Formats: sequence, C-alpha cells, structure tokens
Amino acid sequence: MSLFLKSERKDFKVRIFLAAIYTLLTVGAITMIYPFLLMFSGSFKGKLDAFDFDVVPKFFLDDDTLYRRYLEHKYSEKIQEYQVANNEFVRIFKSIETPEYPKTELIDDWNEFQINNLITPENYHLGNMFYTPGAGNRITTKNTRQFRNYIRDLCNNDPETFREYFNIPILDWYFLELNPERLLDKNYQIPKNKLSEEFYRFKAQIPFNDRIYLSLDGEYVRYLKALELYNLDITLFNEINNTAFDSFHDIILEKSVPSGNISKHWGEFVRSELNAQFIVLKMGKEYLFTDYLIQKFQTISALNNTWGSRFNSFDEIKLSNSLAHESYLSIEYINFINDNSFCPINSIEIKSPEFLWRNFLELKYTHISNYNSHFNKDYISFSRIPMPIKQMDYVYVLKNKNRLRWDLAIHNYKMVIEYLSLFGDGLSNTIIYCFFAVLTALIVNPLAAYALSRYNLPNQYKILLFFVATMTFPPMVTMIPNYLLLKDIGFLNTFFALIIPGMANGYGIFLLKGFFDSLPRELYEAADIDAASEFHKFWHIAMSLSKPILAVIALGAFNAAYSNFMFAVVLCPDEKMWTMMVWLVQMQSWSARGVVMASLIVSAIPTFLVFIFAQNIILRGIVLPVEK
Amino acid sequence: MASINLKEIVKCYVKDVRVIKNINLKIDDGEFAVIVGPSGCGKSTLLRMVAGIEEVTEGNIFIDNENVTTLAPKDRNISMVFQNYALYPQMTVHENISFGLKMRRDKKSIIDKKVKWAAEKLELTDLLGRRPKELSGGQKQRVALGRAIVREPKVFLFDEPLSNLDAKLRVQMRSEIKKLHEELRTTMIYVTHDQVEAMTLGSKIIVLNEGVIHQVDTPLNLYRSPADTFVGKFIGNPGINLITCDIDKNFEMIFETGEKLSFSSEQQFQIDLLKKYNNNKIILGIRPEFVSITKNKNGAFLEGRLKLIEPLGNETLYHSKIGDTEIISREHGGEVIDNGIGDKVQFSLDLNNACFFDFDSKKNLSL
Repeated sequence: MSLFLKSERKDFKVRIFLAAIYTLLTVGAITMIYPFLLMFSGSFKGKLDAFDFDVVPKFFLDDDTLYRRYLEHKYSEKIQEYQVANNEFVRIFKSIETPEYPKTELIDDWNEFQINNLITPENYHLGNMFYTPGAGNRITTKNTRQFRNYIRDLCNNDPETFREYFNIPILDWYFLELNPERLLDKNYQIPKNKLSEEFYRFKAQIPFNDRIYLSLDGEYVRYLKALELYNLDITLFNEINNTAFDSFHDIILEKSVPSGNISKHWGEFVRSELNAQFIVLKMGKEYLFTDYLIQKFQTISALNNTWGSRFNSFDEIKLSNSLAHESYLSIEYINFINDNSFCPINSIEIKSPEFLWRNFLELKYTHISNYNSHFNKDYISFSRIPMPIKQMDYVYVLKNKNRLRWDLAIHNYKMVIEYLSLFGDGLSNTIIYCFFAVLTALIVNPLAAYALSRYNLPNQYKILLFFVATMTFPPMVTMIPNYLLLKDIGFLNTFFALIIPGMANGYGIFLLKGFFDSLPRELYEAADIDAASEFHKFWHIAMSLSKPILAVIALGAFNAAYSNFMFAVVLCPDEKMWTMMVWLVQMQSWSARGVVMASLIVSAIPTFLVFIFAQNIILRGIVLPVEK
Repeated sequence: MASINLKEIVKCYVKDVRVIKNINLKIDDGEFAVIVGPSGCGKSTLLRMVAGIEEVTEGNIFIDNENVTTLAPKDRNISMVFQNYALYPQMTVHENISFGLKMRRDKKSIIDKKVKWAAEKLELTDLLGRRPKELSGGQKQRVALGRAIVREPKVFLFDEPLSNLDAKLRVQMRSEIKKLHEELRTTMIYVTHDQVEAMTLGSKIIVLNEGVIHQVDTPLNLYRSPADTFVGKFIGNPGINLITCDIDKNFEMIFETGEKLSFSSEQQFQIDLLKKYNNNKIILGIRPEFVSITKNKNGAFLEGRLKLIEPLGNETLYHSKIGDTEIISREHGGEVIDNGIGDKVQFSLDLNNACFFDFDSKKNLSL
C-alpha cells in the first residue's frame, strides 16, 4: 500500500514531504552504515593508521603509506630498531619519508652482494617477527607465524612433544614466543638451548628482504647521541672532537681506532657497548688472545676441565664466527677484550655487514671516483657508503605492492582465525551450543504455545501474564539466581548450564501463540475428523504452517546463543567450555586495535550469513503477522 | 447409512446461557436434512455437536442408535465439509483426500483406489498433484467434498459449504451436491443461512432460530404453511406479508387503517379457524404472489401508497404501505404497472392462500 496515490504525488507539498522522508531515511542509513564501514576499514589497519578514520584504508590506494606499513611490520613496530638499522632519526613510523627510487645498478649490486657474501644469521635480526609484546597491542607477523609452524611441524603438532623436547612449558602454540634478539648489545649472547638452535636454523632460510642487517654506524650514532656530554648538539661535538659533521647521522664508525679526540669514543663504544662478535683481532695479533688464555688457565688441562673441552694445546683454540653464541670461549673473549692490558685498542678492528658491503663495492669499482660518477654521488671514500636498506625496502614494496596489500589486509583476520582455531574448543563449543539452543527453542516454545493456543487451560490468563512478566526483567537481574540455581544442580561448566535457561522464551511463546491462534480452527477440526493424532496436528498443521515464525524464533535463539558472553563466561568459567565469544573477548583484551576490529567482523559473519540466506523467511515471519 | 437422533440437546458456552435450547430432532437414514436459520441461531453449533468437535452440555446424540455423545469425532464415522474448505495448505490434493485414510492406516493400494474413485466422481483427476493455493474456490470445495466422501462415512455434515463461492458457482455446486446425494444415498446434514439453498437441496428442512427449532418439514409445506411468523418471514424471498388485524363478530378483518375485509361464503374453512378469535387480534400472513395490485377500484379492498418498484424481469416487486404496515406484492410477467412512487394503489388479497397467526404466540392457527 502506498501512502499517496499516483495523482497526489505530483502535488508540490507531497513532493516536499516525500523528499523529506527520503532524506531522513538516507541519513538514517548512513549513520547506521558509516560506523560499520569504519569498523570494517579499521579491521585492515595496523598501529600506524589505526586512528585514521577513513572508510577505505590509505594503504589500499597510496604506495607511500603501504611502504610505511610494510616497515612497521618489518621492524615489528619498534622504531628504535628502524632508527639503528637505517641510521636515521624518526619518531614514529608514520613520519618516515619515502626514499628516491634507486638506480637499477644499485639494486643489482645489492642483490649480488647478498648472494655472493655468505652473511651469517648472527649479522642480522629477523624482520616481520613479533617477539614478546606488551599487553594491548599484540599482533602476529608473518615470520612469527612461520616460525610457529616450523616448530609445530618439528613436533608433529603435539605440544607435549614440544614440552618434552625443548623443556619449555607452553600452554598452547599460540604462546610460543622468543625473547627479542639484541645482537648489537655488548651483554647479549645467543642462548644455548634447543629452541634457539632451531630458531637459527629457521632464520638462515628466511629470504633476504626479511633481514634487518645490523648497522654498527647506526648503533654508534645512537650511542653518541645518548652521551650527556654533547646533549644532541653537533656543533659542540665538532668543537670538542675537531670534526666537521653536519649531523650526528653523518658520523660513521671507523674500521679501526681513528686518530684524534674521537678515538676515545671509538674505544669506549667498541669495548663497552658493542657485541664481541663484531670485534676481531687485527691480522697478526691473534696471539694476544692465546696469551690471555695461557695467563688465565696456565695449563691446557685446566682449561679443558673448566670448559669441558678436549684441546691438546692453546694454539688449537681459534676464534670462530660463533662468538655471538653463549659459550666459554665467547665469555673469555669478552673478558679479553675488556682487558686493556692484554688487548690494546689498536690491536682490534671491526667487522660487520657494512664493511662487507663496502669491500664488495671497492672490489667492484676499485676507486671511489668510479662509484661516484656512476651513481652521481660525492663520497670521499668507500668507508662512507651506507647500506641501501631503506631504498631496497622501497623497491621491494613497489615490486610486490598487490601481494603486500593483500597480506596486510588479511593479516588481522588471519590472526583472529588462527587464534580461534588454535585455542581450545571455542568454535566447536559455539557450534554445539548454538545448535542445541536453536533445537530446544524450536521444540519447547512451540509446544508451550500450542498448548496455550489449543486448549483452554485453567488459569490461562495467569500463565500468559507470567510469560509477559518474564519479558519485563532484563536478563542481568536473573543472572545471579540463575547461577546459584545451576550451581546447586551441578550444571556449571556443562552445556546444560548454557542451554537450559534459554530453552523457553516468553516472547517466542507469545509470538507463536498469536500465530497458532490465527490459523483457521477448521484445520484442526478437519484433522480431528480425519483421525489425526495430537502430535500430527501439532507437527503437520501448526508447525508446518508456522515456518516463517519458527524461522524468527530460530534466528532469535541463534543470535542469543551466539552473542551470549556474560552468561557463557559466568556459567562456564572452565576454559574447556568457553564459547567463541568468550575467547574473542579474551583476545580483545590483549590484541591490537585492528585485530579487535577484525575479530568483531569475524564474529558478525555467521549472523550476517544467516540473515542473507534466511531474509525472505524472516521478513515473512515479521511482516506478515503484523499485516494480518 | 445411518439415522441420526438428537435428544434434549442443550449447549451453553457460558454457564446457564443456552445457545441451543432443548432440541429434539430425528433424521432418517439417507435423508438430506438442511438446517436453516439466520446467523447466530446456533445451526453451526448444532452441526458441530453432531460432528463431535463441540461438546454437548446436556442431552444425547445417537447415530444408528448408538450413543455417540461422548465419542471423539474420529470414532463417529462422519465426515464434514467446512465453509472455508479447511484444506491442509501444505499438502497436495491427493494427500488432502487421502489424509483421513492414511490416519486410519488403510493399505496404500486401497487408498489409491478410493482416491481415484473420489477424484473421478468430482472431476479432480487432473488436479491431484496441485496444492490448495493453486486451486480456484470451486475446485477447493470439490477437494473438500472428495476428502469427505473418500472415507465413505455414515453421515455427511456440511457447514455452509457454498457461502464462500460466487453466485453462479454456488448454483452449480448446489446441483453437484444434490447429485452426489442421489448417487451415494448417505445421510446428510447441511447447514446454511440461505433459504434458497435449503429449499432446493433438502428433503427435510429444519428451521432454527435462537436455539429453538421452529419447524421441521418438506420445502413445500414450509412455504405453504409456515409454523409461525418467523418461518413465514424467513422462508421465501421476499418473506410473507404480515398484517395485524382485528376480527369482529362478523368475522370481518379490520385493518389499522379502518378498512374491513370479509370472507366470502366459500371460505368456511378460514371462518372456522378464526371462530375462537372473535373480537381478538390476529396476524394475517399472505405471500406476495397472492397480493395483486390494481389501479381500478373494482372489487379491490385495500388502499395503500406505492413506495418502491423492483422490476426483476420475469416478475416485479411492489413495496407499498398500508398505514404503517409494509406490503410487498409480486406480479408475474415483465410488464410494470405504470404507477409513480407515492401514488395511491388498490390491493386485492387472495384469502384462500392466506395463513393466520396467533397474535401472542405467533403460531399458525391451522397447525
């Protein structure tokens, strides 16, 4: 039925009225849908753009934002790590500027360098790896996931095997975590345990672009900038050290101790700040360490006793690449380096990926002028050339735009789904709960309504009043009595506790009674005369003609069960009985904002699907009885 | 095949408010009995009590001398056709017809045979696979009939089965039901508010009003000698003309307008009838076709004013007023008397075909 006749619609006033109605409806629709769209868009976002309230996330359209989000993930949201690796000062990932696209030769050189130089895993951190995070912003990045899968495969997906083999008590795969590596730190040594061994095996097979090469320059600059003496003032630094740097970030760490005032900083930094694995004895000075060991242990057997080793003489002890790992040798080496009397400052020099890169360039271009003319730069020597990490990241992002966008978009969802599938029985609990909630609602409510509709029960009015009364109390009011009752019966932590209180629903019974009442009485009478049983009348007449309304009841029961959080967590505190909602709320308490949004979207999918597929039936159930 | 006997039937929905007041009725085996009455007279209630879907407050119902008062509908071996057909919407025609047999656990081969028989009888064979919503009203009612006859019950009950059909279809279905009765010869009780339906179908008509049976008779008797003014008014369209008049000692009827009407010497029967009503009031009942209207005042007795003319083609109805009493006269033939509304007209009454009712009890004096 339309509000106005066709002829009336031409009237100006009616048109204004209709326009006003449509405007209102449109505004209503927008105010309903807009927040949902924001949530949807938010579910694709990370820490960097979580507070940009836009309907389409920026990184979908904008390469620069994509680049920043890529960096944020690669550096695991740690800006300090980015600052050191790139020797650049930015406060947040959002303010990182996009570099120029490098020349093809540079890209080729860098690839050649990475392939030809066997850079051991001790020389880089692993990007896209999220280590033990703080509460409230957990994300799971690509390599975290891969490492977890690697370990799971190793243990045949059995946490018990894991616990036995690695001797680490974890609740679930989800909590498999490593402490972050601090390979530049003086005091850090790669722990000597099985998990760490596996991690290094895993780390060695990771593709180049996930490596975060350790930049000693960056670390040195960080160290210098932290010194109280200069208070971040480069002119003061230049004055004191007799240098001419434009900014702290122009300072580089020389390979061996430089001359002049700055040598003091070099010595202090190398001795007390730098991890020992980057410090080597100069050619021909290796005997100094042997001397130190002889001095300390006197005899080789004393050393063997302490170390548990089998060296025949001190000369057999060689410094290897494994100095970053925890061992007696590396501990003695650290002590040795700290000891100025055994290890004078001019007997040591630095090795790092940076120097490998510079050596590589020097070999290739022989003279810096060749390099400068080639790349249109003005370096005074090869030792000034930094690693082109930032540019290479940019190249990588531009070359893999679409894949990265997709990865970032599904990242939060992946985490939610992984969480739900890895954790407990949330999913199966929810399915069982919803199934039985719908089933019992479809049995109990129609039976009650049928009895009320078909038989004139004594005190029927009072019974109906009682049903209405149950509708007037909000469920929170009945929660505590409900809990106590179920506790006394002993139903806590069982499906009974979840299903039984929701079986009968005053509203549903009312709705069904009304619908049953509206069915022609003659149908029942015809069935009576046809000798149909009471069950037959209930099932084949009342029920089969009430399908739309039953769909509404089923949908209501499903929604109530599916979205039930308070009752579910109160009545079933045991983790084994937790439903999806409880798990999701649990997850939301420690995960990042985008993940929270994604979890909301994921949890809305089942009801959304139900609505899409059942909308016809539901509309018939809701609209038709009203129209009657 | 069965006779039906209702004894002292009383029905109260609310305590002490009688809807059906002490009804006694006997319907013979194979009879087509029609219960007719205005809406709300309790005719459907009576039928539903026979069917067993309404409880009897007092009294007993016998079908074939078996007291079925407390039996469930399914055990009474009856079948019923409802006004709104009451077909099971989710079942096909075939399923609808066979439902009662299935519930009684008949063999499938027998069910199929019976359904086929019923479908052929009612020309439903092509519709067996359809659902009720795909059928027209007439088809639906035929399916309902099929559902009733397929069980071959002792008694058929019809609760205004034709009311939901349009006029033309109603006439057609009417004759089909009549044909069905002639073929099956089963006892049938048919409830209707339509006296034409009642007159055409029934071999016995029960006129019911306010829970009381006014008359049980054949259609013709009912028309010719109604038991009381109610039956007279109810049967026939338009109903009988009722004129209140006084009888003086010469057996003349004095109308409220003061005009007098006396019987001729041949009408001794009527005079005998009215003997004890000397100086009393009676009600004169006369069918419209026995009231003729003339322009000329020769031998005519009553004068009235014309209020309304209804030309129906084969006949014309004239509504007039004599004093405050309305009188309808029916003239056959297509010719319409050329009188204007409000004109004075003369009536002659054929007192040979008149009925006389007691003024107080409204009962027919001749019965």
